[in-house]
Amino acid sequence: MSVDIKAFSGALTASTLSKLHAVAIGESAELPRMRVIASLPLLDANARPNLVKIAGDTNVPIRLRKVAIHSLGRLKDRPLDVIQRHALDSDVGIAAAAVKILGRVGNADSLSTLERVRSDSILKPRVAFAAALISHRFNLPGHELPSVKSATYLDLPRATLSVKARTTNAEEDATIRSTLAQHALALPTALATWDLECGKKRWALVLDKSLLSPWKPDQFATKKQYLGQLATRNHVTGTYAPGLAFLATGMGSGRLEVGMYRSSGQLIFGGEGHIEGEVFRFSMRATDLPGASATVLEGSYGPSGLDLKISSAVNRTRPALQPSLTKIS
Amino acid sequence: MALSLRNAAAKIGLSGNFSVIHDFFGCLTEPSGLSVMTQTDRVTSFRRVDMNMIRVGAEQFTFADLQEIDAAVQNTRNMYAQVSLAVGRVLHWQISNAEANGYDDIGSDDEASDLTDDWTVPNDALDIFLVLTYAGSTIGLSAVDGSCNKDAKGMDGSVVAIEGSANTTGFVLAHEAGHYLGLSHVNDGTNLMNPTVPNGGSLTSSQGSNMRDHCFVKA
Repeated sequence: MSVDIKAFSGALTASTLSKLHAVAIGESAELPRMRVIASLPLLDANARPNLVKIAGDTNVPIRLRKVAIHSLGRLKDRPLDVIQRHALDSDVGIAAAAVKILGRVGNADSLSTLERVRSDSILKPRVAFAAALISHRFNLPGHELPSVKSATYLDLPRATLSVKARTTNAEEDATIRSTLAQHALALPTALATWDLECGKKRWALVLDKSLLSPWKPDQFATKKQYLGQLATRNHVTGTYAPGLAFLATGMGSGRLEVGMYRSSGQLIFGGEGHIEGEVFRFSMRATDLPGASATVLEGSYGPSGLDLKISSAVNRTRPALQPSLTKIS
Repeated sequence: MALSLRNAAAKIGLSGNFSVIHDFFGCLTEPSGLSVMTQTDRVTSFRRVDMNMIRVGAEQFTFADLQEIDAAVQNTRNMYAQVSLAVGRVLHWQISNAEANGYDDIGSDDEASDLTDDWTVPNDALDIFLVLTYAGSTIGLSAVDGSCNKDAKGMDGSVVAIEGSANTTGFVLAHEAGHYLGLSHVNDGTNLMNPTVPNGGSLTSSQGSNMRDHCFVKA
């Protein structure tokens, strides 16, 4: 469900945009303020000054400032210096929001900011994942993720599901690009996308095209790389959300570790890949997390294209490590 | 038949001494304008759905947020009453900032889905995850005709953003819970299941029938 800002504003004229900005900065209450702040990057190319102001205004409620930081990350002209400054904020909520966005959109300079973020039980794992995302995107040393070998995996699945993988058509490609562009996500300029269909679910595998063309499989065995995203499709709206980040770490001798991670840094699928001549093969298993089901993803990419197989248990198991909820009166 | 608060309370699992405000209505604060007679009548006469209200990043919620949650539940009760469906027992749960693992700060729909995947209240009530930050144009997300086996695959709860507006949050709660209970979007701008807020909050008898048939709805 969403707030119908367009219905409120009619055509997005200068006058109506002005009204939306008045809501965003708290001078009008015609619409829920949070939703307007969250939507401004999609509605106004000149949203940046007010978003910077809201994010930095200590008189504004923390949750609105956090949404403003998310919105800054969604701008095409995202102000990394401002987001970096908020990563060092004394409020842990503000810092955590900024760290999360920096991981997705930051550059090599952002790593030095992340190194200065205070060590805190809440911030520490987020900083580690944000830094790892950047180091993979730019193939920089340090900031390693825990080896996928150290993760605990679910048993092999007892049943299998088939997956249909096909390259997207132009219309799907446009939808994937445009909806992912609405998120704080630094996607590569050129993308190669596949539609994956398994039962009632659909995803888009979105990879960095420059890694595939020209095809040089040996590069995977020696570098750290951000390969792309396994984007999830909303079956109601047809839009896509970023889903899982697909990372690879070359181990040498034609081998690499591969993992798919949530934005929280949790490893969801982990495994190994190797190069066989002109073909890159990989196999990943689902980690033992609450809500996961025993799943194996196996695939290959080479001159003949992408081949993907998914084997998954029909039912998921809820592991014993299910978090305990604290009930209150 | 005379209405009995005790009988109505027993229907939602309350016995012995209980607080009318906190246990029978499931309020976190002490809102004005609650009608014991109306709620007793609804719980006694209608089929009902129970709800778990789960505050994600609980330390960040202010008293005003709690008031907004209470108002949203009451708004939902009133909207569902038009199709003879009661919101019965409302239990409150919390996930701390540290435990939330970043999901107190929802950046996209897949994070909302992950939240419902990771956490489950082990009872037969609908899990409603309340978050203070939900970036983007989405204001709430839910499975459609959600499973009553909360260990099943897929999204198994609803996520609702606390918007700072009790009226808006009430619509979102009723809308997302409506999805879970089997309703899809409709084009009618006056209907609760129109995909945008504000809408008129109305429900048709056919939608009511669908909701009352959901496996989480009890006699």
